[in-house]
Amino acid sequence: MHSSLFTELKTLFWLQGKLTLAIFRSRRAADWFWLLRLGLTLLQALFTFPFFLLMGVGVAVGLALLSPRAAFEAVVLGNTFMTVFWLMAPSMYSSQLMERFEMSRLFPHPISFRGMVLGSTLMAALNMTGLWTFPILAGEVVGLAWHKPLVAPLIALGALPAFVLFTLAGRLMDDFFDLIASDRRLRTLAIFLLTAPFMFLWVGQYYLQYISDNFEKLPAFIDPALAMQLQQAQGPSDVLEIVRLSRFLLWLPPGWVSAGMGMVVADSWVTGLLFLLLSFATIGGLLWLHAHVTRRLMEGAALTVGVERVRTRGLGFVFSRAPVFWTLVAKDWRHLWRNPLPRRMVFATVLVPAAMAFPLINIPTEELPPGWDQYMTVVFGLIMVFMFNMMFNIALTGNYFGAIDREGFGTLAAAVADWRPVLLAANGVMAVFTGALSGLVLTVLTLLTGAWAALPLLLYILLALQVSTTPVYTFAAIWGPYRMEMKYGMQNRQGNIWSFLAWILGTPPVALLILLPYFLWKPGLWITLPLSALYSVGLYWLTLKPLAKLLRNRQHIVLERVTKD
Amino acid sequence: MNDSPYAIQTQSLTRRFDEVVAVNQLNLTVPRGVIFGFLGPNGAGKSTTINMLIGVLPPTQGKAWVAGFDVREQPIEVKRRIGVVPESLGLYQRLTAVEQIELVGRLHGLRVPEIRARIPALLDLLELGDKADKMILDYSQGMLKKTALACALIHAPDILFMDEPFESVDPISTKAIKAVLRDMVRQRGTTVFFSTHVMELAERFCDQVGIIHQGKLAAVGDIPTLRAQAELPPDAPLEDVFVRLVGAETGAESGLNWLTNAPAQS
Repeated sequence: MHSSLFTELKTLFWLQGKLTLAIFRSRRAADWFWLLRLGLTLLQALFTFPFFLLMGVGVAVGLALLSPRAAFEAVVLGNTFMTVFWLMAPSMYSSQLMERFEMSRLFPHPISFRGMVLGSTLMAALNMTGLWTFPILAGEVVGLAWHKPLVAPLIALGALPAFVLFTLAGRLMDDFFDLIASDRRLRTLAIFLLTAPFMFLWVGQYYLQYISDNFEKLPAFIDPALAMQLQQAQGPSDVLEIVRLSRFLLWLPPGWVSAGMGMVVADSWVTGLLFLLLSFATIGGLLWLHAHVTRRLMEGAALTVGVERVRTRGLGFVFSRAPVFWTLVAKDWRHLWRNPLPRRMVFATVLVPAAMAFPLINIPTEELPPGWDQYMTVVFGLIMVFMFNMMFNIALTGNYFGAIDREGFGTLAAAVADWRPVLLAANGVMAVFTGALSGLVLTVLTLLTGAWAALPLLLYILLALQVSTTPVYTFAAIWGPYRMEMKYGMQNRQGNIWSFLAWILGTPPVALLILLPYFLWKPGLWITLPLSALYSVGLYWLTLKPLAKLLRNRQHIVLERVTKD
Repeated sequence: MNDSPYAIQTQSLTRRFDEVVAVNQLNLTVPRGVIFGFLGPNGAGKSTTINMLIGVLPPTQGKAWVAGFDVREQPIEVKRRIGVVPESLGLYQRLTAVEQIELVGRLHGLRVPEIRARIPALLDLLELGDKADKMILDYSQGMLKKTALACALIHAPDILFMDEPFESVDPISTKAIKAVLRDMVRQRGTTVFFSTHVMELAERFCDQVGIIHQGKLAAVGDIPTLRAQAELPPDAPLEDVFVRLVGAETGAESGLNWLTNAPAQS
């Protein structure tokens, strides 16, 4: 009855297969729906897999068209990017599509340490990221071998540690998440740190765009001779050879595996072979690290910063000294701040506007007609206002009970007779939260651009929009609540279409009442601004009672949906 | 199982979490072939003890043997001989009950035809038959517990560890499960070790009871022995025995007059 390593691996493959097939399984739908879903999935696969293959072919052709040295540079760059992607993948999407191969669930069962280490490594390669990495890596091998066909076996051999490096990078990140799984604050911090580079990449591409048009503004640390060479570069091969990022990237493991694969193509035989040896040694080291972490995890190790202590004084304390409405506000405020989702949104609030505002620098304001800098600030400010309104409210107001209250909704359901204070408190706290964050960013924006006059208008629109869209978001929260997945920091893909509808229905009246006169006939604002306020507050006030009634009638449905995983 | 006379034995078993001592110098022996109830209030250290005994949480100090094997040195040997219904259940949400049970059977090295032959009877016993092809994601708390129970039983373990096994399980299933567990103990010599804070269950179902309080073993033995130890009459309910042995206060005397006294006339 005892398992061999082979049997254990077979079982783990079987488990991974079942978890993969579960993607195609519908939950509560009828059998015919399952068939429809399977059909759609097959159709999707018919397009997806050829696309992956096409990516591989594209990489091969691209590398073949470059010079040998540039092809090597491109491989170093590509492999570094893929390693970063693998590192981030566990925090991004794999857990949403597919239930994670969570080792800790297997610990109570008789599975050997070897089986656990080997199995978890192999399974890490069998996820979505693995599916598209393989053709790309194959494309790299073909593209590099195009320049020196005789060394193709050596390049292919070099691709092996590269693939294992990617897989282990993902696996080690999974290990890290297992280690910090019991600490909410560490998890939140880790997810922020992992997703932040993508935001910086977004800013970075604007910066590159800016630099490419303004060579004279190159940062001082860049060699002026290099800048001159870049200006004279003919095509991508020249750029890659001049920039030669491998100078820096060869200090890191993705650089080592890339050098093991491709340095022979650039005629550096001895160095290439040494890097190949280093690559194998590196993956050996990483495998040891994974084994070590697995051993520690099996022994119950966990990284934690201790039991979370929460502040009970401050604003919440003041609120809690008052009657029902303020008690609810205090509850909502505390709950909001102790929830990981709003905290992550605070991080995003800092990064997103930075990325959005960067293109403003690209605009040569001296060439614009007078007053246009003001208009530009208003336009960018408006984009941010609408974006913030959507970002915060779709995720939070539009699914308030599934994202914030969750199990706590049971307390409300058991104790509340009049639901109006519940809605008022939740909406009020959300308005303060959204208003404070967005207002701060808008103030910084107007400070940077010097278009001070735009600030009151932007803040007014922010407030009016929040009030006018809240009823429909609240309707979405009552009509289509769902339990948001907090683990790994990812939101459940299920989503709520009503939230988008809320945005579409709630936004246009306010937008039209304020923006049309602003851009077409400013004196009209004296009439339309109070009108928009009247519309927003009136809409909110008129809908509060029916929404409270709707919530009362649907409280059992809401409770069921927000508490069930 | 090797020739140890005990199913479970611990020696100064201790587990600390930072400054908190969850289990403190626990010395416990559980003979083979008994139903052993591990009682204690919430946070007493029941689950921590079970996690150490099943080899998923290392003790800070002391030793433990299960089925004669050291849980720290030979965890795989221990796991091969035990079935576990852990506190967290640890089920894969996107598997069906049948698949989850099959997974555990495979991990215990059972052949697939054998597993498939055993599953229907288990599903019938636990009344999971009509839901067995639904994803665990959609199960109620009681069904989750039943699925975990089925997983713990599929390989007919020598020792069964269960953390609050009957919580959320309906009375009909509870009765059927208890009957099967009793048969396993009487006919096969299986040892059942389960934690609970339901006194009635312990009183009616257990051959022996251990009481843990604030991480320390307060008392152990069969129920008449515990009554004698607590200096209570032979018909005293286990609840009174428990309260006496752990030295807990009911609290009704102090500070709750506003709750227990008749309302004042206004």
